[in-house]
Amino acid sequence: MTLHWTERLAEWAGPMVVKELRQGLRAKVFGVVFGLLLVVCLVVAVVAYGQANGAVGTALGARFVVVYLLALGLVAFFVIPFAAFRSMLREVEGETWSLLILTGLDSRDILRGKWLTSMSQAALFASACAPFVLFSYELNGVELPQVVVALVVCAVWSGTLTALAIGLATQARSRLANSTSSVSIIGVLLVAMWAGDAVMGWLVDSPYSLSRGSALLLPVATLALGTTALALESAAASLRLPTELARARPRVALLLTMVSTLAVTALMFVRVRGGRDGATFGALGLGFYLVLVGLFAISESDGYPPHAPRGPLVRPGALRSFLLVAVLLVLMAGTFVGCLRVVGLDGRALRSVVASAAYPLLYLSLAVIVGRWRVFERFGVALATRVAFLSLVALGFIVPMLFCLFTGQQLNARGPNTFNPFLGLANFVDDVGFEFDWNLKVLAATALFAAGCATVVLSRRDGAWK
Amino acid sequence: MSLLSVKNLTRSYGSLQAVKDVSFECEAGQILGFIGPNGAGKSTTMRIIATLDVPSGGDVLLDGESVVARPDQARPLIGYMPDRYGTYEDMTVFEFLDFFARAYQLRGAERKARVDSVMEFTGLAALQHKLTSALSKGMKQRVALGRTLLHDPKLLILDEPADGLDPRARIELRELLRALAQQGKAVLISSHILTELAEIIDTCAIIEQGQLLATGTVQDVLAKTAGVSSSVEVEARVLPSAVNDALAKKIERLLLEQPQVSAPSVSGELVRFTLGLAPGSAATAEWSQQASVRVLRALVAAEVPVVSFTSREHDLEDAFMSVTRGRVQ
Repeated sequence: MTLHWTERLAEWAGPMVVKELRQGLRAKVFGVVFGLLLVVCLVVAVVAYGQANGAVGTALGARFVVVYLLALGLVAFFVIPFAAFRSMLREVEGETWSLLILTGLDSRDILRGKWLTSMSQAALFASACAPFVLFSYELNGVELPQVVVALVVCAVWSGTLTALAIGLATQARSRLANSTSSVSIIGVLLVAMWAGDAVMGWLVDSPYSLSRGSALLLPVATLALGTTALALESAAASLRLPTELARARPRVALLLTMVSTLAVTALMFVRVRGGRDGATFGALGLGFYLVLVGLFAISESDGYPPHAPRGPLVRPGALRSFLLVAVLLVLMAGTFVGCLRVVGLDGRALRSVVASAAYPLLYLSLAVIVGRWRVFERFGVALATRVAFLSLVALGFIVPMLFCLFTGQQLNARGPNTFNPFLGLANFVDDVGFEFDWNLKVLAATALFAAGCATVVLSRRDGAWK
Repeated sequence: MSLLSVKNLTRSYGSLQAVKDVSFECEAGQILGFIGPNGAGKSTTMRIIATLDVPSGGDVLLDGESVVARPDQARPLIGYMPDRYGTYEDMTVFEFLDFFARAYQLRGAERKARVDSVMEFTGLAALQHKLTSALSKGMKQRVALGRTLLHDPKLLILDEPADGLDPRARIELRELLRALAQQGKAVLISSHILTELAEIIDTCAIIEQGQLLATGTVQDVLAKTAGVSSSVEVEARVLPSAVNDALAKKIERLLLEQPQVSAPSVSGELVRFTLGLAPGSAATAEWSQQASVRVLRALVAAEVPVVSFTSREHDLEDAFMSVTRGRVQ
């Protein structure tokens, strides 16, 4: 018997996509948002037509494209990721995901299905906006490449936010985590929506934006795409059953993300002959990114089951993840140092780049060591490490300032603030002379020593795990 | 060879031993009742058998293959229903079963036939277009049971399936489980409602604080635990038209005069008392029969209009109460 084409399509898409589409299309929120988006677009089109009618040589296109993209951004950057978050949260709360895994579906299939469905819905919303965007293009003032790039940015950013939202939902295994993640996701998505809308608005605002912004846009887009894969792989690994081996895929995804981002960044940096600010900004951004990722990576479960396959990357455990994050921080600093050498070395830029890697390495290492102390142990391995990190960063910020206050020095005095993760870093970035080099050497040496100690601690944990 | 063989299973969470050296077996076509108080380790054991958790020690063999070593191979043979049914509220009954059938890699006509057959078996065909959120608890439980049957597993693991169901739904569930056992499926079922279990299970395993206290056929367990009890409860009824205060006092006085009788109570036509031995002695079936006859004879001789006289049989509840101590961990 020949299957109907819709049935063939459903078979090809997989059970998760079929289920999610059925649930998504039945949800009231889909119909309401779709209807509202159409109404907004229609009203804006009428206003645009009114303004353009009779006026010769108008260039109203850019203004109205921005309005359409803002409306689309609200849906793509907030509604869709939040719906995906809620959908995954329900799966975690009802423990239905474990029933799905028992059917033979892989946890990656579950997450991929949810993500693909969200993206299909985003495409449906975008298609509703498309005729209006084309209409705006007819009003002049905006080039087609600008609109296309803005839509691509919209798709990439929406995909990343959706993956992160799904990933966050998989972490909500307790009532407290559930409430915390529900509140945080709203805040994160609102900020992300503002950022996404701002970038899209900037892209269509001026015909020169595209050429000027490509040096920043391409590395950020690469990082966003990598983060999408990383978030989905990490979520899939955290959904695995105890009977399944932990996977190396999140680590591979992180490695590929960072290597590709660094490669694209280096390429763009050399191509546009980037300066000190570019290197500092890049190193700070990627350092912060590795801190965020590292906080999850270094708090991974200890050790590995006896029947885990051999091979350093495949075996689960915090040790390998910690070493990978440390290597990536060094690689990141090395890449920027190399870039600076190509365009003409600048001592100050070098300092900020090295400091951007040294502080994350130092505080992540200390978190691993301190997280094993009894006072933190009651939180469990993962939370203890994260709580230790936040506590240490807070202490590292406050204690040097108090010292400066009591010794009558300026609050941001260089010496006492060498290990201050905020003021110290700001000093390295702002510093104008070369006399500050010894502080950097002390910081880098301490960070490397702490990383060595953390490796020993994690090795012992691995050995103790049974 | 047993279909399911649990061997020296142990599961520890830090210093807490949730399951301690548990061993039992279940044959195809058999219904095994897994009985124990809350926190006894029933769900942990069931989750390990269902490949959702790993044991700290021991093994589970399903059809001769280790579930622990090869969970992927064991899963197609297992249908697991947790105490939370795990239904999607915004899907219809058909969509829900169809989705799981797709997940089980059933394709095209085969999938449709399987879903139809499961809906027919569980009595859900008439409700197939209803949202699961609109179903009663009993019907939701049927949907969940239907999900476990889609891939035609050899072993069904049902964790507290009768919990919260009304009497009608419980009776219907009992009938469904009997039918499944007749199809040759092994059913591992846990429940708190022991009277309900007693009517359907062939074998039972009583667990407390992670330790298996008794296992075997229901008759074996009852026989083993019957000797532990040192008392028998007796219930009698008198002619309703003869009931008055004087008769009630007469019965109470008469019963108290009888050796080994304690706690007599007369409420309307209902008379209750306990026949007991000295603590530590075992009340055998023969002893309880002889003692009952002696008391009945005394009542009849005193012209009490007795219309029925029964001593309560030693049942699964008694067995459970006699081997467990109400300890929790």
